[in-house]
Amino acid sequence: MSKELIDPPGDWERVSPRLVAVQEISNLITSVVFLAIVAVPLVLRRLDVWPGYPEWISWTLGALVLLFGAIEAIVVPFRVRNMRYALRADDLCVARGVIFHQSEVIPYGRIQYVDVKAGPLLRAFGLCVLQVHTASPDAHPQIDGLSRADGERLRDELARRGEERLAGL
Amino acid sequence: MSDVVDPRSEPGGAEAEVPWQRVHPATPYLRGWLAIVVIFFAAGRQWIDGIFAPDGLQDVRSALPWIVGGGLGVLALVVAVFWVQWRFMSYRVTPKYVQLRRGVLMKQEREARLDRVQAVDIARPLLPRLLGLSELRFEVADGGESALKLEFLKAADAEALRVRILALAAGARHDAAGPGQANWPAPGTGLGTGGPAPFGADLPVAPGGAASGHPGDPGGGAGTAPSGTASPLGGQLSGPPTESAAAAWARRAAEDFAGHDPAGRVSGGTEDERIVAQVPVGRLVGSLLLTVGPWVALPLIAAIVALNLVGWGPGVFALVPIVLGGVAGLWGSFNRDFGFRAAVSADGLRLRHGLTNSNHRTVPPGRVQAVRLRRPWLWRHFGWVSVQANIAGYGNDQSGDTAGRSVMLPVGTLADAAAVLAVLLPEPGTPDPGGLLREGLEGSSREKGFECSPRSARILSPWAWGRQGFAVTERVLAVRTGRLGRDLVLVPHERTQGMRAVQGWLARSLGVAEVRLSTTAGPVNTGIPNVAAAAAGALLDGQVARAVAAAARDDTNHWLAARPGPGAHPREDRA
Repeated sequence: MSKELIDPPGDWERVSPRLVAVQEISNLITSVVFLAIVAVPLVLRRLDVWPGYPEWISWTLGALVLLFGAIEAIVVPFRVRNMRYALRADDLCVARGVIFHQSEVIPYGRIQYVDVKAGPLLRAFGLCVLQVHTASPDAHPQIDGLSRADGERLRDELARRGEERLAGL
Repeated sequence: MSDVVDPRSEPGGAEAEVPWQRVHPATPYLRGWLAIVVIFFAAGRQWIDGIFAPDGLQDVRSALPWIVGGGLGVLALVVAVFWVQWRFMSYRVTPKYVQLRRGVLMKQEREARLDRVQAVDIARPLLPRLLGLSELRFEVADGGESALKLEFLKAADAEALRVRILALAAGARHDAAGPGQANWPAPGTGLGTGGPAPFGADLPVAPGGAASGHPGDPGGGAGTAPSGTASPLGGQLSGPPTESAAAAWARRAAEDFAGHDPAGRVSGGTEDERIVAQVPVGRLVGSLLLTVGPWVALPLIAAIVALNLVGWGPGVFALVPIVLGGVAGLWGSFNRDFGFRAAVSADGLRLRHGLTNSNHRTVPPGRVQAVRLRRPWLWRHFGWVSVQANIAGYGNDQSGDTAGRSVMLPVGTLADAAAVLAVLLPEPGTPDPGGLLREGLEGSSREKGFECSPRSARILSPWAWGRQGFAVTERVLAVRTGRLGRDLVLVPHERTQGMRAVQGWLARSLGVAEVRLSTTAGPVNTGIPNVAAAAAGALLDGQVARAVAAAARDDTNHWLAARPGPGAHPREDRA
């Protein structure tokens, strides 16, 4: 596929497929919350507390929320399958995105620090998020959905390679 | 830099031995004068209103003692507070850090690592300048906080300190201040003679710029003072000893506003620096008028005025804020860039500019993260170019007194720009840098190694696609964009923080991608639009290897530390 052309060659590794479950659940929660928000005025209208409320707003917004939720639910597995990273000789590559594809390269010597974070949902599935920080506000690639062990191993490896190749600014 | 409450002391003894020094006593007044004015204005306004009320004068006369007493009391309180503040302000320069201590109740201690110094500025706002003081600002690249400001020091002291800090940061490692023997050669020779040539080597040099050393100081009377002093520490004015203090002050102020630095280090090109570019006033005015703003606004204003004469349309008074805003903007730019002078010295590129607020900036060589040459359409006839740079620490702050800090040359010919570039990017990595500049700024062909966007990108950039492209030299990545307003962006390989290729679905079907280089924050945009997909992959693949190779070849973190020779440069210790 032509999109592979912009990814530099390397040993690409996938993130854990359990991320699919995490993102689907999170998508579900978001959709439910938005539906609830949209439904509240509708309920008030039905209970005659707010008679002037036009019902069609709720129906349209509700339909939109369901639509976007459904699209997101379909896209999530493809997106997760396309998240990849590669530890190459001199740099770290991170690629993501199906429709909007991004491929990012960070030299080891430029890494200032590495963050490993995990929210409650990710923790429940034993996953984490790894974020790399450099001196540029523009270059901070993020790898979602690594297993905890992988995340810590990667962080230590990046720190070690970063130290070795530490470059001045 | 770190804001910590407790001072962090080095284990070595050298740090502890350096004594703490005080700033000038007038500092709190200069920093807080606005607050005083506001207090007195707020308090006095009611009083003045009272005078103008009926029977007001009677009330005032009876209350006069209280008013005067109260005023004196407030004044005394203010003076006391400021004195205490001054007592608790101190700074020192150790071999590794610059430290600043401030604050009575809430103590603040800031420190900046010398080997991370990106730029040293001397700023002289109007009021301190009248008193012969200046402010020293450091941009340090470790953390991204704002600059460390040392306010206010005597002008000569500030200059001496600046020289010393740059010398320490350059690794010259000597305690006596002074620019030191320039191991860093003047840009005409280049760091590796016989190898790739530096910028500006083959472009015709404007007569003003090539004159080495000392363009004559118009104020002959100032000749007694500055150019003779060799030691910056003793850079006091040496006027005739019998001059009265008032006359001396008047003369100093006059020289300062006529464009001479009272410390005598920057004006006119002294023995340790060489002027490479100057902006004459006419060119500055022309460049400001030849921007899009006035040319759009003037017809609009004329149209509205004409409509008003016919009696139709919004009132003329609606134009007043627009006109005022426009004029204020133009004045601000004129004020900031007046008398712009770029000189090269052992410290790096020294920039001096400003009419009411005089600014002396120093940019050590090779510290730029990205440089942009821009030629707007209206300047094409004159061949003018402006140069801006991303410098770590300067950030994207484009307002207030930090506006325009990224400007390396507000307007100049291509030869001026090349001379400035020779300092900012000492190694262009190609044997024909002048050709690279010309092709990058004016051309749209595939010469000089430029790879252009493919034809399929016509849809995405119908106007500029033919000119969009990039070229990779040994040390620098050059990006060329724009058709009407032409831009050339140069990014040294060793400053690449990261690189990203982005491809939306439309771009993928057309076989192009956008490549963005990540540098520190700043006005220069380092994106390459519409790169052929295969070329994008190749760029990402090879860029890091190029960056590592370029960094290994030359480290400009300690540019004055002893080098064995132009051939083999040992890797300096990187902190």
